[in-house]
Amino acid sequence: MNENHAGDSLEAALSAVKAAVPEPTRQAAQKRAFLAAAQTTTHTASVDSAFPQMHSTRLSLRRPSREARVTSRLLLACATFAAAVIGLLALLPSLNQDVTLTVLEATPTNPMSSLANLQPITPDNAARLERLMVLGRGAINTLEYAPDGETLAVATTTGVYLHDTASWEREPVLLGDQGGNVTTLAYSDDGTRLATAYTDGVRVWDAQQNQVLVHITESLADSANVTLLDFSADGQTLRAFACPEPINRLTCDDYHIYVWDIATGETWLDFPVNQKLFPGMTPPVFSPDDQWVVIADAPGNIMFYDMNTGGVVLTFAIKYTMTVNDMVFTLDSQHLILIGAGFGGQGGQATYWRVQDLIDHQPHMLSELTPVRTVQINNSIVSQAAWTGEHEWILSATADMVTLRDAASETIVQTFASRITSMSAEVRLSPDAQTVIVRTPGSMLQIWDVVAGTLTTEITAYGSRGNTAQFDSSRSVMLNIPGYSEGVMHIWSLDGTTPADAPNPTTIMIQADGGSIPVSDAALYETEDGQRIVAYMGDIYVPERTRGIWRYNLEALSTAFWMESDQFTRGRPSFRADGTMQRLREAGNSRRWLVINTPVGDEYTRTLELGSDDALRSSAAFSPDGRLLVASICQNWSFCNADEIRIWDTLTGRLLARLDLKIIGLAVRSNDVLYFSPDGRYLAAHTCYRPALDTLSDQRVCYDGKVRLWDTAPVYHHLEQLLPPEVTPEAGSEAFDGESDIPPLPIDLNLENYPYGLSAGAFSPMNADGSYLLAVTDNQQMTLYIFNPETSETSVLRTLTHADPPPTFDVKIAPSGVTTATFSLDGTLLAISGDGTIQLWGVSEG
Amino acid sequence: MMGRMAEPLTNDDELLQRAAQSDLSALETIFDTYYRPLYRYIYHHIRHVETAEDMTGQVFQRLLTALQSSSPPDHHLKAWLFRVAHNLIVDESRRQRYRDHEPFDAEIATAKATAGIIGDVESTADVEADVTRRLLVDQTRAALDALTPMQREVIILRFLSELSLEETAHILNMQVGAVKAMQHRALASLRRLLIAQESYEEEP
Repeated sequence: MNENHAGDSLEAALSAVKAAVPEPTRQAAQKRAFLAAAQTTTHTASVDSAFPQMHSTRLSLRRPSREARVTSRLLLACATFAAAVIGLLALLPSLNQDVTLTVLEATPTNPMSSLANLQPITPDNAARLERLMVLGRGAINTLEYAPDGETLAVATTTGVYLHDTASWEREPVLLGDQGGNVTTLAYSDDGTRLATAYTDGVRVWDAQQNQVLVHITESLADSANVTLLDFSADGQTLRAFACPEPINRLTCDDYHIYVWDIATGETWLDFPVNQKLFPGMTPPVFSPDDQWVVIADAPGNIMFYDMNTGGVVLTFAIKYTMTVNDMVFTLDSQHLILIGAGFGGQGGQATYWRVQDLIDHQPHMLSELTPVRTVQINNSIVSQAAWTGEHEWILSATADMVTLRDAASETIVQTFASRITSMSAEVRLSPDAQTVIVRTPGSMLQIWDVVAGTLTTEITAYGSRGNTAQFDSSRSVMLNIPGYSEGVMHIWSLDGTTPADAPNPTTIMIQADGGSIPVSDAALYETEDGQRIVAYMGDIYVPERTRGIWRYNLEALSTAFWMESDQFTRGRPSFRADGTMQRLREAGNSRRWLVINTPVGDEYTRTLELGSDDALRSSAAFSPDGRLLVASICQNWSFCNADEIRIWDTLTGRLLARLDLKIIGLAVRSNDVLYFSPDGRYLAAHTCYRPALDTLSDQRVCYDGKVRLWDTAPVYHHLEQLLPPEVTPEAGSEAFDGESDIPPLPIDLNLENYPYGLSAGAFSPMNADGSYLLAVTDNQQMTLYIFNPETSETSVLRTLTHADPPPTFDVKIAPSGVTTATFSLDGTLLAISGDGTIQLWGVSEG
Repeated sequence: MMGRMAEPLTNDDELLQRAAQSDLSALETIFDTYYRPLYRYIYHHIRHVETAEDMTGQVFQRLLTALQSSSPPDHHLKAWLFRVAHNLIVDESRRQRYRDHEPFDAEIATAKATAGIIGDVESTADVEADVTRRLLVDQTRAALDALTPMQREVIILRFLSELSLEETAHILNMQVGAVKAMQHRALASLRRLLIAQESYEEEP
């Protein structure tokens, strides 16, 4: 291409891109949902009109066992049902309402006495480093009611927690004191057995005694991913849908159906099933008569397997219409209900198919047959068909509303404004149909009263894998954001001063427009008078008032002020010693960067522009004193290979240093991989090497993945010599205003190579001998290094693995591993997060 | 706050007024008119069909919410919808960074987009033409990715979504002159990048 033809070619190129947009497949369905939602908005009264019978009559429970278990079908079809998010938001108040803050009463947790009398973690005592406490209960994988409705079993990354449904405020019981990641669970029809899938096998429990009856490991690898368990009607066998050897958490090329003898744990049946593209996205369903297992995959293929032979009996497709949200058999096994699986643009439906018709007709496409019945749902991202006795319900959820329908009359019985802010969640109807439970994406449980339509309880001590944690300066409080999507912050009191009956943690919910505002990160600051301030960085889900600062102390919580709405904020906000808060954001109309300095308790006062070149920031961090801003630089969001680190003076905006990683063939990897030692002396970056041509291939591969350190002393020295920004240096002046002479090459450390990169890292405060501890983690383990600046020597001090200490909790939560690590400023505690909890590690005196 | 000058009512303004009165036919017209342009605009950024569809749905959800608010939009419907879409795109980009370190599955997105491009081809000539077109699309997208975010945004709004300068300025909260300047620089950069790509590929 030359310049003469460039204009034509450019036009052709843009035309080609313009034409290369696949046709949308769900426009009609979305339109239907959109108009239905609009109609709902204008006819709220008709929703209410379906309600009075619920006031007058409590629903009876006639067949509480298997029918209740059928309610367990839960499907989330994340990217599939756009109608999902459309609708009932319109019922909510306007966007212009103020953001509100709610402090929830939480169940008192363990006293913090075990955190008293700790020694600073040093090379000398690192061998005695142990896990002292686990805050929170982990991330929820799934949940089930016991058939009698008296217990709710919650499967989490740290075990199964059993809630007493008559007393939600009571602390749940950890099933069998057995830790570990539990991917799914199921009750038997009579409620006497509970099956749970841990990573080391499937356990069948006596549900009354909470004792293991049989531990099934046959046919399953250590890392087997069991996504569905189901008892046979006679309770003699346990059926499972599992990936015996997953490639990673999302990928499996060999799914199997298993049938085990509960008495012996022997495998009765084991056959592979065929799922394409996104296997396991829609869990299969077993027919109540034990004859069929039906499997759906994301492209829309539905397959019937004979449970006696393992052979495929029937395959048909609903391709290119809509993904199956949920599959349920009717109690007599005569009909299969597909929810959210409309075809021909008919979205938001529960369609009933006569099983014998399907078998006889052997359709190629489902559209060749007509459903025997269709129930309009309008929209849902999560749906469930449930029976209480013979009464059939359809529970569906959008992003902000859960709707309970009477399937027989096709009327809306109740709606619940659940404030879910993301597209993945679970809904459950209690066996007596009096309670609906909604699990939010960040693992909060909402307990709704069906008759009143009101929220009765919120349980918040669960977390998500994206947990973050930071200590305050005195190590008396920990700020924890349990999940990005939640709009929830936890403040844990660690110093034991909290009365035993006081809530711990204090849970702060940030809400607007009837929904929660996601919180991406937050900073904690302690004023001289002991008042604590939390600055949070919200999302732009609500276009206004998404960033804020809260004043916080143990007695009260109040709004300090709001900051303006904008788009991106990089890294964690920072407080300087004088209480000034600052954060980095990108300007809206260029690649300029801005540091905003904000005196606490007042309007923000200063916006500092850092430059307007073509650089993008892939990650950023402030030095502990707030004086330096450091960011990694790349040129392309799609394949960000950050090959430069820049350091700025946050008071003047002057560029102080460039660390050009290209000269050593490195790049800073991923986000949140820049951090300072607590004294600001050393800057750490997680780096790797990727050949330029490799950027289009597997981005996970990281050659020479290591932690690199730079000594920041030259930068601070340079700062001292800088003239004030308003003074122009004269020729010959000793003061200079250029960049510092910080060596671009990092300190040569003898660290291990991490071929798949590092997920988190943290510096300890400086030890008495001048050394530092450096805790870094990949997906497998956490390694504690000792780094001696005098000699630049680095050596492995201790490796913390999932087996350390055995066997209660895992450090390793494959594959995402530890996502947060941080030392307290007094060096006594190391906080690790990755499984939805916060693990506190330390060394006790004596 | 400065008051807004009275502006003549357009068809869109009338539609908005009727929609605010819960006129379903007006809402239907709005949906039919703007669904595809919004979807295409979002797709150019996200390059994933289902996500683009979901986000398009969210734009209309926001419209319903806004119409119920105390200050519903009453002018510039098209720009309003695109601005919401723009915000959602930014939002989505941010969310991707926090989603449990799961990378966006570019391969699947590419495969689906490619399927959309290639379709059912039969003859060798068709195949060659389609491969050439696909390469051109890939190259152009790579060049677009290399632009600054705002340059890319202007290109997408102006040339791929065919919005006017005024509409683009409204969506991006910029002056028309600034959009023109941005557009000029963006096209120059894009042209330079495409030439560089071609030169690179022509090297032995």
